[in-house]
Amino acid sequence: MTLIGYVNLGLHLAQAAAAGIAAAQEGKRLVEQLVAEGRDPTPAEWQRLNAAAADLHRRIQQGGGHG
Amino acid sequence: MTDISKPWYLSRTVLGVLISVAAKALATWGYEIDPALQADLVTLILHLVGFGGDALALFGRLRATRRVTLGGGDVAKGLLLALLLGALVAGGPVACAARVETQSPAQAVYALKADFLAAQYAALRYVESPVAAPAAVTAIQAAEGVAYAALVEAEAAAREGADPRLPALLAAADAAVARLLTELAAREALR
Repeated sequence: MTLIGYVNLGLHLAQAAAAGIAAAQEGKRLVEQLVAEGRDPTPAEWQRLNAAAADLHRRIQQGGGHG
Repeated sequence: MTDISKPWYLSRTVLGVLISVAAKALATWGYEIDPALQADLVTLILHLVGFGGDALALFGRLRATRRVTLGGGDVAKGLLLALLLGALVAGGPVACAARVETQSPAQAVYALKADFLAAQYAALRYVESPVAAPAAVTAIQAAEGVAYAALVEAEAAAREGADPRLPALLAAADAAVARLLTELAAREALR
């Protein structure tokens, strides 16, 4: 692998981590809110989470693409 | 995936042409850039553009969310470790939201799904990356598919309320999400 190849790999790892971290923080905040309020998720909250997961699931299973 | 609204600077084809033209121009001055290096340069530019956008988004999130202080840092460190060092392989699931002590099965499934969503973002980044290995993409897609199906079942049972299969379904979903995270961590660590 060339030096630029290694730089590319490093940036790729950082990119993947950054995307996951942002989503993880948001998820943790939502769950903490549910616990603090002592309630289960509302249908709308389920719907929002499920819509995001379904969209990502579809895109992951499609395999992405490089154009 | 075809995205007709994609800006030119995110197009591998356009960047490839620009790099090729630049390489030909440099060749007239005696500087040779071989095709492999040209391809690496295109990938580098795509990464830099993508990483810049992600970094700005993450910075904006950190600045905008007052509650993200020490806890947010722990989440960030945990996920970074999981993704970059393969810590999950030895330490079990990094369930950032699921580590919050929940009070009901619905909350537990919701927390697990929130963690799954975070893993999905990382998985999508990997799958769409121009440097992703096809075998790794296949493995990640398989793990993601299993986790997705397990969580759908667990959610249905949790929202039903009195489903006796709930503990087993929750455990299966938890294991499936952990498997996806492990797959991500292992692939990243081994590449």
